[in-house]
Amino acid sequence: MSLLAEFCTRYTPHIYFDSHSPSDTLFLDLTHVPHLINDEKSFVIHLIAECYRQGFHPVVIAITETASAGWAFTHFTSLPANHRISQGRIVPPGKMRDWLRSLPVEAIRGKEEWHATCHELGCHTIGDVLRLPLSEWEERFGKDFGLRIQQLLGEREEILPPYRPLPKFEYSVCLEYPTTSADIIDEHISALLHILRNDLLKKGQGALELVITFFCDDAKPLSTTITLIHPTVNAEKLYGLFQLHKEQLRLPGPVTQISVAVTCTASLEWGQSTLFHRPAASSSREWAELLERLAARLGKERVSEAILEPDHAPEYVTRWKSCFDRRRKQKSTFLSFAILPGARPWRLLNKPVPIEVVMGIPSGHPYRFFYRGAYKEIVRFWGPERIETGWWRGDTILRDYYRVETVTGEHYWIYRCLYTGQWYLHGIF
Amino acid sequence: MASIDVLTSSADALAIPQGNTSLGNYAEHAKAPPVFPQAGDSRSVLVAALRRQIEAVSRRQTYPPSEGISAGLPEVDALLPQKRIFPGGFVEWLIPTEGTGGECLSLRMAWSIAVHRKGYLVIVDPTQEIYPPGLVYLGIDLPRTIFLHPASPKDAYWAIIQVLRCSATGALWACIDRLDTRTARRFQLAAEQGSTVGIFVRPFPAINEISWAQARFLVQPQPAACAQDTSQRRRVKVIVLRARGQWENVAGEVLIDDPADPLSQTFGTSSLSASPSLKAASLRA
Repeated sequence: MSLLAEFCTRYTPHIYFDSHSPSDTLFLDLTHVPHLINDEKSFVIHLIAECYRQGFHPVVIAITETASAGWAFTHFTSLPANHRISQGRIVPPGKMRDWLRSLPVEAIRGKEEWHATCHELGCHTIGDVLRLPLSEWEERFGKDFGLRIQQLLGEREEILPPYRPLPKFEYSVCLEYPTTSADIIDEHISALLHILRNDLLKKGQGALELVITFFCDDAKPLSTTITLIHPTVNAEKLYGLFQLHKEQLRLPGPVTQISVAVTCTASLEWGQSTLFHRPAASSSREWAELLERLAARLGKERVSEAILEPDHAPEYVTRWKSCFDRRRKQKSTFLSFAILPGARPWRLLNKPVPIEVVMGIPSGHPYRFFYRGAYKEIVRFWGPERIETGWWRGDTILRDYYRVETVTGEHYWIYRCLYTGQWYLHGIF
Repeated sequence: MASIDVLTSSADALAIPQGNTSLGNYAEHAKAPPVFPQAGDSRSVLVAALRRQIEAVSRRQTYPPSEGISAGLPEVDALLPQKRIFPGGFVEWLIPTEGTGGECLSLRMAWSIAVHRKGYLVIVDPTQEIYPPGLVYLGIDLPRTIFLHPASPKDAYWAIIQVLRCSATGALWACIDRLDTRTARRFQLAAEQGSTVGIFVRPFPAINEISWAQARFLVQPQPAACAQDTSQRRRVKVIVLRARGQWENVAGEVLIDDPADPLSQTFGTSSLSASPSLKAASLRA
């Protein structure tokens, strides 16, 4: 759906997702748009053809006065999906209420129990529902039902989650001929960034997040996001970060249009210049620039901080948070050391390695284990530390952990799964 | 002998006389006439003369002692010729196998340097197997630590160079299996440019490779003194294979304490818990 939404941004910036799940619907605000391609009928034909070219097939399109009615017509007046035919439907102005009357009650977006009760009461279509006063329905189902009906008929406003926030600054250029030339693309991006810089400066704003989109011929659009720590209007810096991004991009086809959109801005930080060099300020700026460069090349999710979660299962203790996540930072972890139940290894294997362990009888403690082609004699061990948790996740953990020291002085973290009796190597000290 | 002649001629300007070779007196000695090995000298005399010249070259690149940083491990500091790690280079820890404690010592050293430089510790971890609770256990503060998870070795090398080149970096820590001479030289130049310190953990076979490191340590785990010792303290032997201005391998023993063990408050004075942060943590535990 995100790819389809990205593709539709060429027609309108106002794109919304369906707030219900599972979502299979996009809502496009087409006010003043269809006339650009003659009329609504031509627009629907054009849109179906373009979707087919981009690989989105089949699609069902309905142009109506309200979003809820659009959802109803796309879901209840079209052929079943297994017919594999794209379809379009245009509801003429003023005819929407009449056309809706024939649709089943399931066309009212809401709870399934509403539909079941309507059928029990002998109301099988929206027309049957509209015959009764709305207040009576609200007494039975609550205010939500009335709201849904009013939204369906266009009497109340409907708020939908946007695909992405409207860009505060957006510039695009349509190329005369599709191209794959890196030089031409660089030239256009540089020009767009300089235009962007001028407009940002006029508003006293700096870019914090920049989305560069390439619309390709016969292929899905390709987007890349540049995230910054401090707001900037420096076109050269943005261009340099784009160059780092570019190394990771693979254009799916010749580019027909390039778009640069600023999705997040902040007021520029103006500071009075000082007579003497302030090392702390320059160090902070240099550090921020380093993180921006690293995120541009590696991806911002790969430049992260570790957050400790209060969970006993070793696999779930750590949560990675991008350094560009602007939510509240965690406090010092020195105190959290005190709540750790025992020693923890510096390295935890992503997947525990099954090992053969010789145990003492009747204690059941490990005596030696076979790992990497050799037996390792255990001279000391600490444990067991029993960890039993995670039933709410569906995979209950029941393990006895041991820290073991081998005769050669190596320390490992091994455990025995008490369900299967299998031993695993999980960490290295 | 031809190769020796070439070597001496290229090091003419840096040759220093015999006798006192301390850094403080280098400027005075640099004016004195240099002593070059002659064709008729015995082999031992030649080697000694060349050694002094190489020593002069390596010492010339060092920083004033006041810029040195403690490794955070008093025993390791004591093994180094100038008792300090200097910014503008990297340190290698060679480990024979995993789990020997060398990684813990290197992480502790990296954190100590980052704290001293008032910067962030950057950990390059392509496999995402570094376990943050284990780092907390070593006394590393996670909000002052940045983890990089590059997707390929190429990205990892690029990231290391970028981080070392940034003077705002506190310290960098990475496990590097393979490192060719050219990449190692790039790391060295990046660290010199940013005056930063990189700590690299390398597998034991790297001992045969040419090193650009300012210091190279080999870790040998020592078995427990007795099986009845229930504390989780570990003894490891640290051998300095290479350090600027040092020619003989020197070795010392380091005791890695268990900070959660109450005994470590009593016996931990010569070990990791001597560092302020870890000592504080162990008292709370």
